[in-house]
Amino acid sequence: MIVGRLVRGWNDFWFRPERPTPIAAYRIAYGVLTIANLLLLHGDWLTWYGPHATLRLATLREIGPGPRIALLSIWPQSDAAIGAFFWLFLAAAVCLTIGWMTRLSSIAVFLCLVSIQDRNPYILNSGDTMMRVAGFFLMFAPAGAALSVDRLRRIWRGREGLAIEPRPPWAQRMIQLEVSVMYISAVLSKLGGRTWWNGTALYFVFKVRQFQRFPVPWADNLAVLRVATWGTLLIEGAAGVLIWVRRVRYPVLLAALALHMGIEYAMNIPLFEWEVVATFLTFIDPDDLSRAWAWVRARAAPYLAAPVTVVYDGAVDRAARCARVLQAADVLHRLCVAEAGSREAGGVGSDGLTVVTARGERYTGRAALGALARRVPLLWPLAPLGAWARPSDRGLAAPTAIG
Amino acid sequence: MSATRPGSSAPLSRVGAITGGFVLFNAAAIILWSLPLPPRTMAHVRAGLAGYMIASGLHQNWGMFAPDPMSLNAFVEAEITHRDGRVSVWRFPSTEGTGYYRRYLMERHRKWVNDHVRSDDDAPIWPDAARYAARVNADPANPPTHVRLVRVWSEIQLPRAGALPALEPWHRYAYFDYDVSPGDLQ
Repeated sequence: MIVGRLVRGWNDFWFRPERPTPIAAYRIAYGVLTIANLLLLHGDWLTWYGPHATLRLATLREIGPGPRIALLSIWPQSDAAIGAFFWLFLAAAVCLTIGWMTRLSSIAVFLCLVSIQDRNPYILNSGDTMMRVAGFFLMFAPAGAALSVDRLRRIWRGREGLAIEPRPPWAQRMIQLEVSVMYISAVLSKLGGRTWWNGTALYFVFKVRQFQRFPVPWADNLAVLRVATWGTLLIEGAAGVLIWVRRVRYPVLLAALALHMGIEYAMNIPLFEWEVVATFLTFIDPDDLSRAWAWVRARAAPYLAAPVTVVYDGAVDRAARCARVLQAADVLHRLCVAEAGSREAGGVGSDGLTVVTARGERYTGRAALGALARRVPLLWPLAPLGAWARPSDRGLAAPTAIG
Repeated sequence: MSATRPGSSAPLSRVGAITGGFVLFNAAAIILWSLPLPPRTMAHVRAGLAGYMIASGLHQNWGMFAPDPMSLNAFVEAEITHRDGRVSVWRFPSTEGTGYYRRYLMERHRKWVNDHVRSDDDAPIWPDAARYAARVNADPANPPTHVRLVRVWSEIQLPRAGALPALEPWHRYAYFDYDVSPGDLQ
């Protein structure tokens, strides 16, 4: 009886299908952070990993024997080849961010990331560790099942509908477990130190000049520092344990977010805070994530391009597929997609695909792409097309669906 | 443990069972590896898991500012002797005295120098650090022949009642000498 309940609980926790939007959102954040990391490193690619790097390959082999993922150890050792490795890594990170060939790109990103970390382990901080361990599980996650080019391609091919299918979240749970373990381990490690008990730890942290970033006004006030030191332990402990309790999860996440933003302000530890905070996305319920996004969308609406209606000819297969893909890609809700002849199209006809603005301007062909590019984030790189887009007709009746 | 589909008692496929085993193993390995256990237990656990954790990239250490944060300001200098006998002092790159953006870029230099090149625990990387200092300061007309690594540090003191702490004096300690060969400069 008890064993059966345990097994059911285990299976529910790891394998009960859930909408994969949180892990997809995390994939995007992970990709952006990987790109940022590579760009921040760019000036030092050869310093840390080149043929004459600060750590020679021969030294590395002496101090770190044993099997490991180390592509850079077998990669051609020339400046050009090392540079090429990083450009390939960057390309894989871009693919991962947009969710194109997601499984393959997540594997490529993980292999490249582990390889550069293995090539020079003496420059790593805990953010690098988080990216590595989360990257391992991201390879197994349904990270391309939502918010991805892969999903749009499946919709184009008719293999998937507009509703996002729930998937087993076990890989996402493993990333959550990593976050929890990180905080618990951090607290337990600190409890072995005298300064964390007597409340002076942060005094020393803020006095290390090489860590200093922006001025901390109370860096010499021991009373405030004690509260901050013990508060740090409290928040880290809560983030490790209470994060599993649904009722208090969001307050705990908010407290942890405040802690990390405080560190980001006061200390110079590039990307670490963002790399940890990004993992919080995996703890957000898919419905809450949708609600939060709707809130952001509503606040952003006044600053976005005005909504348009996309009228398509349902009899033209290509136009119908295009319309479905646009519906799925319309994360900012700037499009009303309507079949020609339908009530929403308001009498607007279309040979293929026509974009109609609230002022009755109609765009077709390349001009339509330009008009859409300003409204669909995935098409933003094509937004300059919009500058040259001229409507094919003006002053016609607008479809009733707009607004 | 055989995995079952949620809401039913039907056993999952072999793939499901393998996934369940993979999850169980990794969750246990991560917890055992990461949480501070008694030293002897920890040594046994780490010895048993090291092969998998390192090969898979799952090895991790979350002891940030633990057990106590560093209580000194420090940097490393290289005293470089050139062929003509002249000695120049070169400070390894650091974040100190740089602007906000530059400091962001230089953090990995801080990590390398302050946490490792300076540390006795990482003595195997000292020759590479000395070679790097020689290479960065290589003048073909007057090349470096010898590099001496020097730790420079100042203790951070807690403030006494009602007064800000005075900065402790800076200390210097030469801890490694390296004879530069022509091949080191290429």
